[in-house]
Amino acid sequence: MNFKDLYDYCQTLPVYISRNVIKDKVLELSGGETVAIMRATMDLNVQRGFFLSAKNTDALLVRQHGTNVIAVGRSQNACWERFIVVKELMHFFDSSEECTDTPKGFEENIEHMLMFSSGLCAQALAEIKCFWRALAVLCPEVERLDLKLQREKRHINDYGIALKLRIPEQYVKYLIDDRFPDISQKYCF
Amino acid sequence: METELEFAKSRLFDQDALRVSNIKFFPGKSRDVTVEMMAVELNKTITQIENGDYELITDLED
Repeated sequence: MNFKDLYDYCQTLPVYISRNVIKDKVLELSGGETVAIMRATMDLNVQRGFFLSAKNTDALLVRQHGTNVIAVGRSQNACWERFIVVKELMHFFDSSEECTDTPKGFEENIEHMLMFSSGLCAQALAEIKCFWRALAVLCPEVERLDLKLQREKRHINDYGIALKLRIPEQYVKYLIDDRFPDISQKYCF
Repeated sequence: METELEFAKSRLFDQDALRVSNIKFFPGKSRDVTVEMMAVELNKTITQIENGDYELITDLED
């Protein structure tokens, strides 16, 4: 499945874009995958959520919820929860090289993710890629350019943009950054 | 010493466990986090899910 298909689809949608709309399109593009999304208790200082894909159909978790599970921490506001769910949905597009499917890759991915270092493994790069992909699908480019212009005129601020798009306010600065098109291009396609 | 990281690796990747083909994270608010701390939270959450302590939100319009 190709991320570009999801990206193009989202360009045609008015904001804000419902997570159900993105989820349904991702599943359609996946050709028959399912996903169970749930809230559970976790220390939000350490972890806000995760995506897990498991293949053992005898395992309790897979029997109950199917192959793909997204968990998000309880007590996060709707903007955060939406963004985490959408970012994790982007992992449906991970290439086989980007999938974390070994104990060694698992440890390496977490280590690299926490180090913010250069020379990241493919799995850790996929984490970054999915962050930018989530931003790109939640804010169509036409809308982004308009919001950027409105903000330059001081007709809207970061909080207003965050609420309109229903994304975490701290990520608005990335969307309106002049480098967004280059970064987005690098990670999205 | 048995660590939560080793526990996580076994329960995720053993052939007779979940047999995970991909797992990815949304990191938390703190930058002062270790691999072991991530494993602790992951293990807790999987145990909650296996024991019914979760709230399904698969279908949300917002």
